[in-house]
Amino acid sequence: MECDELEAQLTDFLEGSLPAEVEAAAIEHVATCARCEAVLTGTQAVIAAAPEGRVELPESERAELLQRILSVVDDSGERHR
Amino acid sequence: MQNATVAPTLTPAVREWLIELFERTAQAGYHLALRVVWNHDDALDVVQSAFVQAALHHHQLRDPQRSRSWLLGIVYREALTVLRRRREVSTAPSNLVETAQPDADPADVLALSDLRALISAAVGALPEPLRVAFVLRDVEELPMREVAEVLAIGESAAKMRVARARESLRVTLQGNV
Repeated sequence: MECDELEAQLTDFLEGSLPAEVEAAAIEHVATCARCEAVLTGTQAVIAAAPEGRVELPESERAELLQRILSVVDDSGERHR
Repeated sequence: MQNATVAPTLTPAVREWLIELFERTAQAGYHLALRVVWNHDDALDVVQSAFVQAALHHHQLRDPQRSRSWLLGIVYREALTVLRRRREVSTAPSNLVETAQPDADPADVLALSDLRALISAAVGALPEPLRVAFVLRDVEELPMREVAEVLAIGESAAKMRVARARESLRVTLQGNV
């Protein structure tokens, strides 16, 4: 496998959706190519850190939001009776 | 949506389904909306509107196994509608935050030491289509198939967007993650 092939297959590689023989070729290439090894580990680091970027909806606001939704839906149901 | 397609009342079963869907999906929906509209109150409005639509049009959900991507798809379209409305009322369309949030300047990114803020700012600097795909796949951890369903694109196109987002973030965050 060459560098450009690995680059093209990287997402499928990370998804674990490559055929076994292609995955084996990718692993073999990464073991011998410092550039692709850096790209792979860097991408894996981004994926691992990604959940840190989640913005949480506070529990109190979440409960209020549900009540508002149910209220609007119930009102709408009443209007259609 | 057409009034003719609106269910006249909500049965207890549908109400229960809506609450269960909310418990499973509200957090992801809020985060998705926030990453498009960049405003807490607008994001809450988007989520509220999406769940109300889901309740009133629940009969349009053909596959119950896909309720999460169906709901998040509504959230995404609602959020884009908010952006379009802003564009219509704005006198300076170029100032709209469609491609990056105002505080996502690379200089700001470098100044942030907290990993959470660093990632948040870097994600904010991504173009909207890549940002949303990344948020759905890598932050909210939806399967790629569901990412494609939410965005109403093919799975290969979703993979492409996720790949481009990851590559951009890898370069931006190099040495920090």
